[in-house]
Amino acid sequence: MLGKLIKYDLKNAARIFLLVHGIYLFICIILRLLVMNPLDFSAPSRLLITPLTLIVVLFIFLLTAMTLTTSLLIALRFYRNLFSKEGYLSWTLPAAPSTHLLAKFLSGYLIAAADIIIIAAGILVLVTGSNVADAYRQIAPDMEKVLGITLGSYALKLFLFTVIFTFTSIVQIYFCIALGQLFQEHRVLLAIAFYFLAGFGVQILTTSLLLITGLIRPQMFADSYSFNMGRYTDILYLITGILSIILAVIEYMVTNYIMKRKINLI
Amino acid sequence: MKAILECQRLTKRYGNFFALSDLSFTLERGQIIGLLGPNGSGKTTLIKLINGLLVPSDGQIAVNGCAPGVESKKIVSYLPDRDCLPSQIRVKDALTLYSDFYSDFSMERAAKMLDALEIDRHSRLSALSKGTKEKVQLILVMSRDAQLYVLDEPIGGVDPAARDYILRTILTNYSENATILISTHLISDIENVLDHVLFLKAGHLVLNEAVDEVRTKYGKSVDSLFREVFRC
Amino acid sequence: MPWDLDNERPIYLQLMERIQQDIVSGVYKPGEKIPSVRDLALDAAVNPNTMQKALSELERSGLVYSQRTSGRFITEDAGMLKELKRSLAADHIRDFFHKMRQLGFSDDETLNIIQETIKGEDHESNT
Repeated sequence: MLGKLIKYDLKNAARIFLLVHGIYLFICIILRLLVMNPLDFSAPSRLLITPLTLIVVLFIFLLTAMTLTTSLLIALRFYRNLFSKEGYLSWTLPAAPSTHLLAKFLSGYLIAAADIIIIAAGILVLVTGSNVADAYRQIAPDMEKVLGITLGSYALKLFLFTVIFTFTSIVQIYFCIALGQLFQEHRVLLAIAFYFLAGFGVQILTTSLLLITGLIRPQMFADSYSFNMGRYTDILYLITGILSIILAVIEYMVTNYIMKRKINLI
Repeated sequence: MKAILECQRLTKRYGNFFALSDLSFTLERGQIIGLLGPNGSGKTTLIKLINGLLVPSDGQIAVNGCAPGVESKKIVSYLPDRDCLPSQIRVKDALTLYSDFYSDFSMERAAKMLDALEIDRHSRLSALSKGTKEKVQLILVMSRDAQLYVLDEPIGGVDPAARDYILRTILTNYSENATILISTHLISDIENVLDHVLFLKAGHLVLNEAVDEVRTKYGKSVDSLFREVFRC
Repeated sequence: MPWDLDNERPIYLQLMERIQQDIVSGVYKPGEKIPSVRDLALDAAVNPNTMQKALSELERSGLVYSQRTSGRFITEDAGMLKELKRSLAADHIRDFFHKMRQLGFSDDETLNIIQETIKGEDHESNT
């Protein structure tokens, strides 16, 4: 049953997902061929600024659009499939509420993972040209000094953090939508409100916990010589990671409870 | 054998509004039961409770002896009062979906009915007319070998000719031990098909009687009795 | 032939009457097998349970009998069929006199009218 539910979920999300990510990869390839490849990094920096700014701005825009679409896709699949009129079919399939939630979670994770892999692939397409590699080799020592570690291990940490962050953000989306279902009216609006509140709440909680435990101190930033960027991010990632996993597990359990005991389709 | 559907003091409340209050009744197997009442009398609320789309505020509901859940969903075939299939899928994909999830679904039976109604299997649901969409959903629902069929307004949106076909479909496809619960306000169209009727009025059960009993007792059709009970 | 069912009386009674009618008028011959409950129900567009009830009642009266495996058959008892015919006729006549009385005719007047009507028909068919 779980497998079937995931299969149908992915099938339903496939069209929009493939369309958006196809466009992304296409743009990346175009950028590589038309903008990146002709760049000469030994040229004076004033000549480099315009194309690089353009590419960075465009890329950030693309990234935001993609992440947003993917999150929206995951949120909409959950909402539409279970709580809109499609829910009349979904909830009458012979599947337990917990199976529905697990299926949605796993399919959401697969979609998010595919999203991240494709984004990474797009970045690789952009930066694997020999001109970029040569240029990076020149500035690598400086970068490592700032980060405290090699760019490679920094990327690995970033990746691990993304894996955890994806987990928590998907659960948080589902949790907020499920919370919205507890009300008679304005269920979608309330879900969105809960989502912002939850994000805000987690921020405050994390920051205050870090400050209270003394793991970060305002003075850390004052002394720029002894400030170690790598160590700082390590601590930050570790604490927020653990905290958000605990939070996500609680949210998952509450969502499961709502789906099991409090379903009231309009 | 346990009753196919049993409600005890079943109540559904929204704030101060009672959509259903204190419903107690039992449905026997092998019968066709009409769930009759004007708009807003609680028909759809009851049907949603049977299918686990709502949770009761009070009282109990049991399908084949169990509260609505995975086991009840295996034996209940439900036709909602709205289209619930994803609109971008094709008719044939909808058939596959049903046969994937319900082990009692008969592809053969569905194919026969689609052919009889000349519905193209390759068209997307979004491209079909409202009436045709309703027919597709009914075909899906009646192609299951369920123990309880719950049909919410199955003939509301279709023309009289299709209505006849649909009633014949219902009569031909249900097995002797299955129970069919049909909610409708088009009583005269289905009256001859019903064994039993339940009248709902503002969330209360006001009549629970065999059709022949109604005629013997009141000397009038269910339709006329309905008009009398619900006179505005 | 459509099964015209009226709305006021129990459906199974009307189904019984209709089948009796069909037996008397020779649609079903004595000893003949009658269609299955399901087919009859579909034909009449009624619930199979109701048809089942009508047939069970007919079975109880002895007009049809069932053989465990092969289905239901019309009785071959000629006396019973004759009796059925008579009793249906008596029903019709009672109904007729009832209506004539409502029109204000005494039973004797009605009889006279009947005779005149028959003569008139004879006269018509002779010419």
